[in-house]
Amino acid sequence: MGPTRKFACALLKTALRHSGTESHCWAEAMLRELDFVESDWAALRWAVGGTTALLRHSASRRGSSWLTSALGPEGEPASARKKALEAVLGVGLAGAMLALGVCGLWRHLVILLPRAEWERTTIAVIAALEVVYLRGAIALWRRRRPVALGILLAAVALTVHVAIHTGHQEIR
Amino acid sequence: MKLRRSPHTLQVLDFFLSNPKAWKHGYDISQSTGLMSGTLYPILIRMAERGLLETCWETPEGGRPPRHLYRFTPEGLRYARELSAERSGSGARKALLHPRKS
Repeated sequence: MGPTRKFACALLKTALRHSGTESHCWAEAMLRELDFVESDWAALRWAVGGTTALLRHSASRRGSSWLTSALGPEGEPASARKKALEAVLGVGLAGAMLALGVCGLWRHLVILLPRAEWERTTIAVIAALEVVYLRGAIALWRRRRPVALGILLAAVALTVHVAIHTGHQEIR
Repeated sequence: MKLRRSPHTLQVLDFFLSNPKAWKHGYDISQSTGLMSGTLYPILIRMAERGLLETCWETPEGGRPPRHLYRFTPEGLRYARELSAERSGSGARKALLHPRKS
């Protein structure tokens, strides 16, 4: 067995060792097929492709199980609807805080500050609001997890919006 | 919708349809379809998770470690046949709407 094939074999064996229960059978299947791949380079391509597929599969499984555990155990449809409504309530709360806080403050800032200062001050105000969102989400995490998730979702959306807006300003 | 109808998925479905009762090995599917393991296995995993593909381990022979085998479940076969009929129907419709000039 050449070094390339040895490496390919070691790669798939490592993937097999670290794969979760849901991917274990597939990792073993890929490893067994390696014996039938003719050339060493083809074996390496097979192992790299297989390891990538296993990583993606494990990552998607872990992502979905994290989301399930974050929302709580699967319940009845009515309970799922309630959780979804609570998450929307969280987004709504965050949106209302943004509308009342930032827009109100910004109106005063427009009058008080020169135009060049607006952007920097707005970002500072939004950063402070993000801290409030984060603290609120942490406080609600145990008692009202869907609401906390809604607030976090709004915080992420606001951050992305500000990042895109700032990026556009820099390009100009 | 059972599966995302990507060209690669359709290739794998067509390969299984060519001999639907036979068990197939992963590397043979890869050789016949030209798909690499990184593309092929996610498709096989999705098909198995959606109940379209049944899997089993080969009985070991001559001290060789067993290989994983795949074939359509009855539901998978029905789905693949429906999809194939749908595709050939839409192909025929396209040919009728845009006939090739000779």
